[in-house]
Amino acid sequence: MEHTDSELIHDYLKGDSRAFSSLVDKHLPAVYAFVYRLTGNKDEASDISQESFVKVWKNISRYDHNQNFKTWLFTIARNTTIDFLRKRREIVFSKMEYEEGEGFGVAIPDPEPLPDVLFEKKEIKEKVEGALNTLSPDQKTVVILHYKDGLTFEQIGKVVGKSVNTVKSQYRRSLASLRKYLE
Amino acid sequence: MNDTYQKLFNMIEETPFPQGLKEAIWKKIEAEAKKQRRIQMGMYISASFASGFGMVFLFTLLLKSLAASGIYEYLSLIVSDGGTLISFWKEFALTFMESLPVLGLTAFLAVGALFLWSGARLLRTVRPSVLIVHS
Repeated sequence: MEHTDSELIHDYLKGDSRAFSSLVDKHLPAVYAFVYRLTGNKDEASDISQESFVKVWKNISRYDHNQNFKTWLFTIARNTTIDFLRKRREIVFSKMEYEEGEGFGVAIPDPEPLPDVLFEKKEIKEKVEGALNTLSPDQKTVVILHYKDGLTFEQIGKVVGKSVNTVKSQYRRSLASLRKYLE
Repeated sequence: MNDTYQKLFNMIEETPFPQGLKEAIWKKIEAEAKKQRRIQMGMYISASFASGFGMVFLFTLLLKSLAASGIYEYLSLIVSDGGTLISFWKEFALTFMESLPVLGLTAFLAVGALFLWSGARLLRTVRPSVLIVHS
């Protein structure tokens, strides 16, 4: 029977050391994939993933059980990635960031669905990767967390430290950029 | 709308994490745990030593204070004239309490408690439970 994240954390804090092992097994693939998408480098993704889980371990007793664990974990992973990229002076997270999302939420319409013919192209897989790389780190974070990790906009907002409207605004911009690149 | 973009993202093959990454994480956590234990041990050893010496010093002072307070005379009264004591037990109790070197006694007990606490924590830190068991 699979335990929930809260149950695993509770068990670990009660002294079951295997519970933390299970937590890592469960979330490492997603965390690594997420970090790799942001950095584009396997070695750096490994280092950042290690650092992220060490931070989780250090702060596990302070984890708020009312908060979704995945949200908390990805927040740590994202912040660790930002710190890492800042040291490398490659941070561009401020690029295309907007403080208020409401205005842009109204101005940017929902992107139309992608045409079916797009999926018939043989090179679509390669193009998707290229399309993702045209997005800013924040935009990439939003779409990856939404489509690959299944987080809601509210959860993503907590991860990136922005309002839901700003997240939705970045989401719409991202999809519009992707569509423009792919067509 | 979301279905077509979800379809697009489903096409992305995730890069599997490299072999050895899990083990690397455990090693880092265990190294961190060892470091924390070392720091804690240092703190508890220092607290134990400081409180131990403090106890010796305060105990010496306490003995002098007790001698100066005349409390030994009260104690000898209990042995020598128990009957009178029972008759005037309230007054005796009050006088006895007043003569106690409260400050010295409090300080000695507080430092003693710190000594016991730091000693207990030190023992706990020295024999930690298994940190991580991983497959």
